[in-house]
Amino acid sequence: MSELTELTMTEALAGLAKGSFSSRELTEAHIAVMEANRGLNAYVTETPEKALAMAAESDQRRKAGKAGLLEGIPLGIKDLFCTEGVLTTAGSHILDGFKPPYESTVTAKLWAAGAAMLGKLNMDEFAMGSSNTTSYHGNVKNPWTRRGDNRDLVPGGSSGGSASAVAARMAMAATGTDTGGSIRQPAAFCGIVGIKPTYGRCSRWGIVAFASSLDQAGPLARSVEDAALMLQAMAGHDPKDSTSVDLPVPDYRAGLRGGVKGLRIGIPKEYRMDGMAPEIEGLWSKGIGWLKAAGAEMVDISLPHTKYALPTYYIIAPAEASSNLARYDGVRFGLRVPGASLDEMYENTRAAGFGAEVKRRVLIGTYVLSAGYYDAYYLKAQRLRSLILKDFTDAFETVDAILTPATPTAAFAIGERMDDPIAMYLNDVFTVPVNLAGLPGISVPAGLTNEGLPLSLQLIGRAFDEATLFRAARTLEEAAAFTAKPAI
Amino acid sequence: MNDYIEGHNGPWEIVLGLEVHAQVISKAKLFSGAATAFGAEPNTQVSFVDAAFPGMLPVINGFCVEQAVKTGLGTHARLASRGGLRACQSVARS
Repeated sequence: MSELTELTMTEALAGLAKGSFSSRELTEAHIAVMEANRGLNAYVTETPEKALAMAAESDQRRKAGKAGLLEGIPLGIKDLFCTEGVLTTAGSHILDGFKPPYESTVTAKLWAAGAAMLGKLNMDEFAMGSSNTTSYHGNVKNPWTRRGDNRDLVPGGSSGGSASAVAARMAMAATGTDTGGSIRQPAAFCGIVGIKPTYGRCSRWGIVAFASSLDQAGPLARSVEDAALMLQAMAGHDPKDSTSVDLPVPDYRAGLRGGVKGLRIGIPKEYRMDGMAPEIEGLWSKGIGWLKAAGAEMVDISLPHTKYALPTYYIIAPAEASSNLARYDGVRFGLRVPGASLDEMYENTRAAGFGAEVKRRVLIGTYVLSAGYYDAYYLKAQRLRSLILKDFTDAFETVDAILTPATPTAAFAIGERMDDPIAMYLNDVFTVPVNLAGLPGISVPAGLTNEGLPLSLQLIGRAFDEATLFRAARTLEEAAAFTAKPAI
Repeated sequence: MNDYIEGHNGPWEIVLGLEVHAQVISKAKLFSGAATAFGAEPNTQVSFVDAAFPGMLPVINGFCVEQAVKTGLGTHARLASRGGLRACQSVARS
């Protein structure tokens, strides 16, 4: 049974096709691991009966010769995706009891592809955070721990539950969303693969909105091939989302083993930060070496506006969040805390329903959009955003992909860095520029720190060129030969 | 030929402007598929988008855009080929 959870999704599909085991057996194996690891707190809502029912239907479909792309695969779904009839909390108290009467486009596509739902995964509240320590439903633990130290580590965030579950074999893969790094950073902290596709590649319909011009859905998986397969099923135009792009979804696995011969890889000098840990620097050099040995050409590039990316993000994202979160008022769904007047009900509900980080960002957002400050902050940030995008557009005239570290450090302990929210924001320093530019980015586990914790490298690509990213990521994955697993 | 009224300190010219608000004739709302039919019972023409449920997104009603373009053509206005707030403002000033 436990061997079934050691398989990658690709291997499981082969096994299912051969008839070596059924989707029911595969799903039961994952439910067992899910139940045995409740201490990680990765799941907000477990849906084992639903998973088994979907698995049984899948086995029937397979018998009838109608196998979809992800036929019979048990998945975890970040609790930001609305799942029809199943509690959807976005990690927040204010969505208590909310069972959506509709299914998000992305998850509907996954079920249409034949997958089964194990449950809804924990996350930072409203996707705001990089440690999964802001969820109303409690912290998520990283299945990895430092050698000789049993302190609980953060899985990263905001898709902390997704990363923890996939790394701990509680799901074959999971969905996440990435607004400033929320797929790539937790994937890196948990030693798995995570990709944020190009803005507009996947539909945002039915995903609880945080920052509408930055949010993007994507997969977390245990191999580059699995991630490519998941994205294949998740991506596509949706007329219900006007920001989704009407471009065909290519076969992401087709050129996967094409290698990187002749590919030009950009190394941005601004990503070499002051005081960067030598282990990160070392891994980046190793990555450069691997790609060079595989025939790629390294090109030094400059992305001069990199240092403005974090402040630009922390103006634009909260501004959009303050608008998107205005709907949570206790009237139509979720938590309602009564008050003597309508305004009091709004105030009481939002005061009780939102956590501290959400309140912080809503207030910042409201401030930067307010009459006296709109020009000084929001307008300026929008202009800077176009300059950051231009840096990448210019760079992609001379390179085909950009290689950077994924995170400035490995996973840290829960409780470390809690005092200063700004220090927490620095976790996303390498990932945020990619969201501002709307480009695709993938993080691939590539090595371990001296304490035995995973470290990842990030590749950034041209808009809608996920295929090149997967190809280069596969080369890195092969060269790194990262086989370490968390000891759980 | 201007109409002047002699005032205490000099002539005054009368300039009249008309700001017209006209409802677009469409069967569905501007950003949701819900009906605009007059006289329905309260809360029967509210979609999840109108009610701002989590994850809902507005989609512009293409027919309303056509109506706006027709209005522009009919009043001999200059039509912006690209949308956005700045484009609307620059067309309005011309």
